[in-house]
Amino acid sequence: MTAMTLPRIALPRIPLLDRLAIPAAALFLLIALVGPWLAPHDPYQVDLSQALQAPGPGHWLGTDAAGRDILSRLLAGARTTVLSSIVVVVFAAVVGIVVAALAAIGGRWADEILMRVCDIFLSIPGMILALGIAAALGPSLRSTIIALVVALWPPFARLVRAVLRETMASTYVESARVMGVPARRLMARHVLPNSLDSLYVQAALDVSGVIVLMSGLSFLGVGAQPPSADWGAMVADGREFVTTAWWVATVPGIAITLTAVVFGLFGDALRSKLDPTLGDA
Amino acid sequence: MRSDLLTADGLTKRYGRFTAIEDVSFTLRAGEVLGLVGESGSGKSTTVRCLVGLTKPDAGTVSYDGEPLQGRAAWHRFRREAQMVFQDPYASLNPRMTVAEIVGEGLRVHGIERTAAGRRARVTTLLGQVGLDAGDLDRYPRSFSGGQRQRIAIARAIAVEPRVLICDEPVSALDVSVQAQVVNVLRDMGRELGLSILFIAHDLAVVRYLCDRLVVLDQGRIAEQGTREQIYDNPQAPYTRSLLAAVPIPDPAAERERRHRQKESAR
Amino acid sequence: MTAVLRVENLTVDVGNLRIVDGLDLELRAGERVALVGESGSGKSMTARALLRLDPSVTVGGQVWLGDRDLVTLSEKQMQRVRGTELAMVFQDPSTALNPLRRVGDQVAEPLRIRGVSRRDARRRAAEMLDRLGVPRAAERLNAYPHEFSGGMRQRVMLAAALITGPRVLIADEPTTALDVRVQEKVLALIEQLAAEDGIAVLLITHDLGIVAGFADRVAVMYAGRKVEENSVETFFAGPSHPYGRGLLNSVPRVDRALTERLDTIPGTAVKPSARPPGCSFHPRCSAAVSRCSAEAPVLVTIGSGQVACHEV
Repeated sequence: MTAMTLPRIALPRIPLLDRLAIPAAALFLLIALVGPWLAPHDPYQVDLSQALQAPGPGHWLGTDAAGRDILSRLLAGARTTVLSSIVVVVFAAVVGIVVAALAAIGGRWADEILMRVCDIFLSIPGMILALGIAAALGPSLRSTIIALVVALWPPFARLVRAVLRETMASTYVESARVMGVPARRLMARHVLPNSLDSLYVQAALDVSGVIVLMSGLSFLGVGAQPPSADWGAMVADGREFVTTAWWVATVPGIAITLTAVVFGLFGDALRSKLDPTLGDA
Repeated sequence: MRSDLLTADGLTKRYGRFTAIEDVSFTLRAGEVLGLVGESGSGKSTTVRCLVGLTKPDAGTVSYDGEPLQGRAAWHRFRREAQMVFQDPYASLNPRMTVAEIVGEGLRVHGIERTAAGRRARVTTLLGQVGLDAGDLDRYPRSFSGGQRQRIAIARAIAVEPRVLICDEPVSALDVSVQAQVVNVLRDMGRELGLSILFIAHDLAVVRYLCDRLVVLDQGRIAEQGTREQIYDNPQAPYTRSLLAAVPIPDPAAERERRHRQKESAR
Repeated sequence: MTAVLRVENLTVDVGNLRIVDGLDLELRAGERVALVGESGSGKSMTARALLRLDPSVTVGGQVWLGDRDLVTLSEKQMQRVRGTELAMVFQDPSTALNPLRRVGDQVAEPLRIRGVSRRDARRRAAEMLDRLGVPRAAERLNAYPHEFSGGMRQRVMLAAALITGPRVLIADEPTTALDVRVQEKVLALIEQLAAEDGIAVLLITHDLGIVAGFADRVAVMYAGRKVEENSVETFFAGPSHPYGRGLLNSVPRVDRALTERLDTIPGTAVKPSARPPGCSFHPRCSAAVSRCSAEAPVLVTIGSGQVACHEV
């Protein structure tokens, strides 16, 4: 029943990928954290004499139209792209969980109202909603993050609500209710701890989608502003040179795809680790 | 005459056009073990859910200790004084809580033991009462067998010193030898603590062993109620008779004769 | 009479855990044998191993169906055996049937696979359902499983199992999910059809009550081993193995005067991963002597039966 507004990369289940996904995601996260210090050049140093250099010994991944080192910009941009995607997902998840928990313990009316609000948000495609909000707030990284949180909490709330309902129908929750465990403790000790596994999985999968969405927004110009190194913006910058200097747009494009795939796999790996029903048979 | 402790009066519950129970009335008296029996679909579960407030009946009332169960105060008291043991010991214990937390939770939420140390001591005693030991305190439900889990569930139920114990098919998921152990534990606890027990079951042999009185449910209605002697020695309702006649007997000669009688009467 | 199914020294391993340890069992034509044990005793694993249903478990020993050893057959040959000569019904009729396929097609399927025409297969499916007491069988071929009650679904399962005329039917707790009155009817039907068609039945169950009325012989399993085998008369007159005795005594009965307490077997069943040395049952046995913890008893023949216990 959960409306998927996020692009979801579906991949075949290969045990080896499962085992590699978790260290790979950790590696990408590490790069995002320490990326700027790994950069061989200053990512913001304009040097027109070095413009549009093909990948080679001096610049492993080439340079862009302003002569900036693309590898360095990628490493610097990793922080913006990956960390802000995680921030988006964490905020969207928190809002989603709070709303769903309120709907679950608040009775039928609270549930009805909160879910109709969700539906209103869900009726607008996520990308368009985010684009509108980001544009209205003025293009910046901060507004992209806000816009994406606004666009993403409703599907999360929907999912959490479905999971919570399932957990609430389980016998151990009913037995706690019959024993007189108050609603807040019921939620905190019985329902949430037994529901979080599937939320972790959804969150990990969402990071993958948000990376793509964020880059999309930057590409359209409402995200992080020049000269900051942002993968989506980098792809946009390289558009004009696709035929003459393919690497300017292609390299960040590959970085976006690769990161999205790695986090997608991470989510799947997490799912098979946490969900006993999917077991490895 | 024993006083009435828990009374169902005219309970009716419909799901769409399907009537799960209709006009179900009976009373659990102080100190007795009352059996609620019937086949699947007889409305046993719906009746229990209405009794303990997990489902709202369409009509009828539940009274506890002479007062209708209405309003927060009445329910609050009932939630402490009436405890429940569920059928599936694999589903009724929170997998993420330790035995100490599971059994101690009632003590905590009802403010009976406010300190962790006090609760631990009480839980240790309770585990001893149901035949488990203190070494099990910090283990999780998954490391226990079905019978042991059901003992944990019983310890949890009696922890808050209830007056009423509602057991929803507590032994039907267990193996025979374990079933006998758990039935004995229930019987001992009931007597030691002076509990009034509502025992829901489909196995008439187990019910006969435990219960003083029986309520027989057939397709959502009460077919018959009476004392153990009345029901087993002289059943009135044809439904009760057919249920009793179908109970298998672990004795080849008696079983052959019983089945022969069954065939004759079917003709 | 000769055996239709002869199991010799059957072992079942899951990973490096021995679940069934050296089981011998014989079924003669038309005979009804009950394999009794509690959860974890290995009785269901035995049933599934005979048909080699789980590719991930290792089956050892010999399973002779006529003159073929099923353990050595290829998977393809085994597929031909399943459902034609060796059929099985399971405990839960609601999950064993495909909810999206018509009942008639599911009953007729074993015949269709073997090349019987659709018309003939459906006609025989209707006959089989009719023999199993499904009212208006021919009309209900087009119904879906959810339109049937639990007992009727179990009859559908039985029809699908018996339609090819197998020599052996393995019934794994076939009536555990059913109400007593329905259970009785289903068992009577199995009994009747098995007698009419000369089918040998292996009933896997934990319920001694139904064993008494249904089976000719009883084999009792504990912790993956057979500890006793006897005719029902001998077994119910007084099982020879302390475990069998304990099991029988813990059954509450409607035909006996009420006692103060139910007899129990102390402790819990051992897991195959934690089998004690000597006799697996000795930690729970009231008759255990020092020898029981040192030396595993072998099955010895006593009268017409067999018992594995130092004390008999």
